[in-house]
Amino acid sequence: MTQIITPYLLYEDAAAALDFLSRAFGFTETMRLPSPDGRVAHAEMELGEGMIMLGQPGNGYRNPARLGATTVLMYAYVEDVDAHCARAREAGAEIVEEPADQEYGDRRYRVRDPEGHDWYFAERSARDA
Amino acid sequence: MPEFPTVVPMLSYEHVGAAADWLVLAFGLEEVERIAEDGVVGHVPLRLGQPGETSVSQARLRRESDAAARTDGVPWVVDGGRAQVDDVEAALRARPPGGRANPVGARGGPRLTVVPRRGLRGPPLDVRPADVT
Repeated sequence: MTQIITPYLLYEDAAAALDFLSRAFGFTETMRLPSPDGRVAHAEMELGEGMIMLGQPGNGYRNPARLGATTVLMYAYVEDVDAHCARAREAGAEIVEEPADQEYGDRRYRVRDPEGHDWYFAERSARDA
Repeated sequence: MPEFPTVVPMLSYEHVGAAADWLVLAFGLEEVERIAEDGVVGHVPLRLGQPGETSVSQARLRRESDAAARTDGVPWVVDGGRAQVDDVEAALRARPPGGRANPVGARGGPRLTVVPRRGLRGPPLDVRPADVT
């Protein structure tokens, strides 16, 4: 599988993000490259056939939670969106929108991770199956 | 790989239609559809690669004026996307009109970080050779 457009998310604490995304959302860590000063310079995670990249820029970087805005949302497909939401809630994630059927067919919910990145998790609609 | 990827980045722009036009021109992405309401473009899925090929990804643009404007005022990238292409030199030559294209040396060859031109506030895309991970 080759994914040629990959979301690249930046965190103030990438190590904590790797732990959270694994526990709350079910991502699997596949790569972690440390920097000489101990930061996680680059990491990669997979969910099904999808992948994301993570980085910790340092140098005064402020995450969306501190900034109060983000221009990127992730839209990820899972098999059981209600079970996924329950898992995220149990892990302490902030559920922004509860699971609901959308007019375009998907069933989705919206969740915010500890650094303010917003995620949609959805089940594919029958239209896309 | 299925026609629809598992993880899709949604990038927010103040002017979604113009941003889609620019990304098609700059990167060769293909517009899948354009959804407008009351004459305002609110959602545009874009595709890189063709359905049925081993490499296909999708990005979706959405209109988000306030958030895009706030994040445009900070001196660093908040988030972004990364696109892998077969010929990064061609992308360098294409130089998106009005955008800031910053070629830098990188593992596996040059890469190109492209920031949308003024008026298209939103996250940048980082274009790298397809064989660089």
